[in-house]
Amino acid sequence: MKKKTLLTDILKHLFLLILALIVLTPIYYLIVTTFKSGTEAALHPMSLPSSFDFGRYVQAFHDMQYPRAFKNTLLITVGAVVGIIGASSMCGYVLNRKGKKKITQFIFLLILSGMMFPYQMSIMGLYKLIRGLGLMNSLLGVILIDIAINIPFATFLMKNFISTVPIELEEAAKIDGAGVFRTFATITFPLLKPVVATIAILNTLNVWNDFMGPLYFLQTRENDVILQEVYRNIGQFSTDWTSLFPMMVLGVLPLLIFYLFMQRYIISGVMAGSVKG
Amino acid sequence: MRRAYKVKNGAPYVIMVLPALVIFVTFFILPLIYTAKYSFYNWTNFSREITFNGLENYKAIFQDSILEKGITNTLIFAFVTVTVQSLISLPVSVFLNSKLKGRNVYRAIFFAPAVLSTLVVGYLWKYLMSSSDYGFINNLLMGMGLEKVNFLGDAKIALFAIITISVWQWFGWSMVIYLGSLQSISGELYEAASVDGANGFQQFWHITIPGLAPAIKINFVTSTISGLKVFDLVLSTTNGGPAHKTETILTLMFSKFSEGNYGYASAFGIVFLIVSMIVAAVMLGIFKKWEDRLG
Amino acid sequence: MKRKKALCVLLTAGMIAAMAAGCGGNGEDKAESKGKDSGNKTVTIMGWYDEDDMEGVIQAVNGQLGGDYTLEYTYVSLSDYNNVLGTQLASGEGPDIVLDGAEFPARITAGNVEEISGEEYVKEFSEAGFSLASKDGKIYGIPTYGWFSGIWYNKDILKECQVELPKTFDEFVSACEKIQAAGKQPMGFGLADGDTAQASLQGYLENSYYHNNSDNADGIEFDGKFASGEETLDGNINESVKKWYTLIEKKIITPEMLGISNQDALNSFKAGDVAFFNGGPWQYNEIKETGIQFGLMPQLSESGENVFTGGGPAASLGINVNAANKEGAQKAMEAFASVEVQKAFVEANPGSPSYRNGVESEMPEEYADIAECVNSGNIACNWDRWSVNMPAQTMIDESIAQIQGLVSGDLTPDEYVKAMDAKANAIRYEK
Repeated sequence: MKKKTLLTDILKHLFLLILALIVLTPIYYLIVTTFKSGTEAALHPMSLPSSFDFGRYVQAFHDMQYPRAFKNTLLITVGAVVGIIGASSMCGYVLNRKGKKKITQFIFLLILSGMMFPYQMSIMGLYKLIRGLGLMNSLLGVILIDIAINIPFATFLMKNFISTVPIELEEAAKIDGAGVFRTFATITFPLLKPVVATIAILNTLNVWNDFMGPLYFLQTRENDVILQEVYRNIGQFSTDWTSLFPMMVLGVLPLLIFYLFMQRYIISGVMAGSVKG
Repeated sequence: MRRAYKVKNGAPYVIMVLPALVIFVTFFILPLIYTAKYSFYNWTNFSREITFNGLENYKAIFQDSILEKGITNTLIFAFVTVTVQSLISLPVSVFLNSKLKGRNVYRAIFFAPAVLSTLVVGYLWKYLMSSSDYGFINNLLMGMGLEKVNFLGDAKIALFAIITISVWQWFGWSMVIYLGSLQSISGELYEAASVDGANGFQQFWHITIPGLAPAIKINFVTSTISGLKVFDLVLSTTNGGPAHKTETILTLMFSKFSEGNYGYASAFGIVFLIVSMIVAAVMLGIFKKWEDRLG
Repeated sequence: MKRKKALCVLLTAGMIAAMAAGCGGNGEDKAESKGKDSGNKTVTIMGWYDEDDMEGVIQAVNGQLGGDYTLEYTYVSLSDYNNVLGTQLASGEGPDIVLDGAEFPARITAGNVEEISGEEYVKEFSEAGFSLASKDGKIYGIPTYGWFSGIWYNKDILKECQVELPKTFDEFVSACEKIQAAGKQPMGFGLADGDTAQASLQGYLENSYYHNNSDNADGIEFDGKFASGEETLDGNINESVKKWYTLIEKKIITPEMLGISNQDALNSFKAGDVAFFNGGPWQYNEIKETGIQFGLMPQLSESGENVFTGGGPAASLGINVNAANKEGAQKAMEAFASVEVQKAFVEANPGSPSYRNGVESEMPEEYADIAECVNSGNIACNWDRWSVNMPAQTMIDESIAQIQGLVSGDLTPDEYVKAMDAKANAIRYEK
């Protein structure tokens, strides 16, 4: 019996190791290639680089106008995530606490419909709208779009979670004379920490890595995001391919670092987000 | 008096719903209405005004043989990706749910590609799969004495090469969803089954799979819907080529946008809406039947 | 209860207001963006040329402007260019100076650029320079410089394989076969993302269909008829496409090239591994740096006489009708038209001809074989002629995609031609 488990364990490990190798090799290749010349990369693709010269990173950092692009990406992500949490927590709260009313049920269904359909289908209308509102090339426009497309799922998670928050505390606060806002802000919202964390993590990944929105709606360079910098530089024919690799690394580095430190929370966030869904 | 109290009571609730509702309606519902409207208009970069032109855009779309290719590719991409992804991530998650050494490290590794930008992942794999002398995978194949494969340049396999990349990036995500669901299956069920003499596979089939039903549904429905949106990955690997063989609905829509043909692109959006509605309905229908059978 | 209804109404009103803002906002934003720029000293321009490549030109323009205005240049990658510029112009915004290539006629059609026929500086340019910037006898823009393309060749490989520099298309094909037999790669193509096969086909058509062809009585006038929809490519250019297809049949262009990027292909040429590579002056400095022995030759005709090579006005410059700084834009146009700035354009693109009187360009020694063709003005390309009634870049992109199909063996030359017709039918401005 014991022997058999040992054998299956070895087989499991073998399978998982091979899979891990397949997952890690491209990432390893991406990183080591940034330190190699074209010939070195072609001759010894898997070896460690012969020297660690960060000169190409400095160049890529400069070519991508990295600080500016990073700032834009960060502003959009933070703005959108804060907006999503703020709007969806309040909305989810009302949809749960006043859930018996016809109007709230209708609103819930309306918002829920946004979960079924990709917003990309209406991108032309969105384009018209953004232009009409004078929000073309503004970070605010992209932030509002990101909030709108992520509200349905966030509201859904919020509403479900709030149903597990006991209403008694709120009633106690009300008796003490606190208004609806104060009750929500001081009593209910602090109890939403787990679902807020889930929503924050899921949407940080979503918004940070969104390429299509900025591609359509941020067309001037001073407003563009990191991914657009990767796209514009790689789209250029005249660049040597080894110099593109540092750009790709810089393109994924912020979230990779975020992941290295927050790995546990990110994975449990994704898990929570799906189980509740 | 009682009435006044009620109104006072209601106003804050309305105010709390408004931000989400207004933003959602303005930036989600309204654009949809616009798109539907402009799909009947001649609206381009080059014309000085926007004029009504009836069903012309739709006629043009359905005369274009590329549309069919785009829809087929998108559907193949969505379904094959979802299926292969689950075929890999299901056993992986079952393994990682047992008391295996280093399972947290495995879990962290498998999920890692999901935090990378799809655009960058596409560029990276384009180099890995290149048929030039620099192409890493082809170097590997030739080192093993095999023939070069033109992964992204051969129209017959390019779409499947893109699917492989997508599976590489996202199987970890669905693994996490299965893991979450597995943890909620009570261990007692397995113990009872063991006592009854059920072997590993029987346990997997009769306990694990039904227990995972909700997670399977979530994985299939959400991944299929996001599969329909495939765009960044195609843009960065083949850009729809060779010879339009890997175009998807969204890459076609984007090229219409780039050409400045906005009315046509709008009609494309509506076609996309209809396709996703059908897909969603079919998926939900299938899962409803399955759930009914499971009881 | 009434109040509650009122709140519902309020809510709906809010949404309607938002909708109205969306619907009615088409024109209003123009005024906004204009207002904030009054008394402004910068003149904006956008382009697909690298900032580094444009540096000399920008300095020269600023020198001409003498501190009254400063030119501000923004780079947008070529793949995005039409999309970005078109969107901005359509919403009444965009840079003060509109720079565009084959799509410049589209900007004229859309009413995005001002007429400048009466300006003094217009007289300083040769007629050919306005081919993309004029409509119905009116002039809307000035050219920058003339671009042309050709075929880079590696002198050492030719010597090693004992191949003479080919003078006709047939000689070219047999030269390639000879190089192939010697175990070398005759031509480099990166068809995953490159336009070089399209350049090769276009060059061949220019020599053997549009010119030097007794079957085509219309010559280049054919393209006017095609652009307007009077003629189709099918039934006309098929034979020429089939002849060019020899390159594919003889495995000089191979399916493997579909998995290679343009940059990889150029790198192979630079490394001395490839005998021929379609390209042009914009790659000169890069190739020169490698130290290989190379030259540039034109595209080839059947007879070796009256040779044409691909090219035309590289880009035209016009004034945005909605320019935030119109006065500055006018001054900048004068600066762009000056000898100094036009010289700077040529310096950034070694050996390119200029349309400006008084600007001579000197060709590097490597251009000896193409000099005659360029100096006699035998530079042309069909998409420039198509651009009067269709977005030319779309046709180029379609041709690149369909040529991938030719190379992979999925399409025949006839199907290629039909596909190009279908595309043109779908995108003509006026049908």
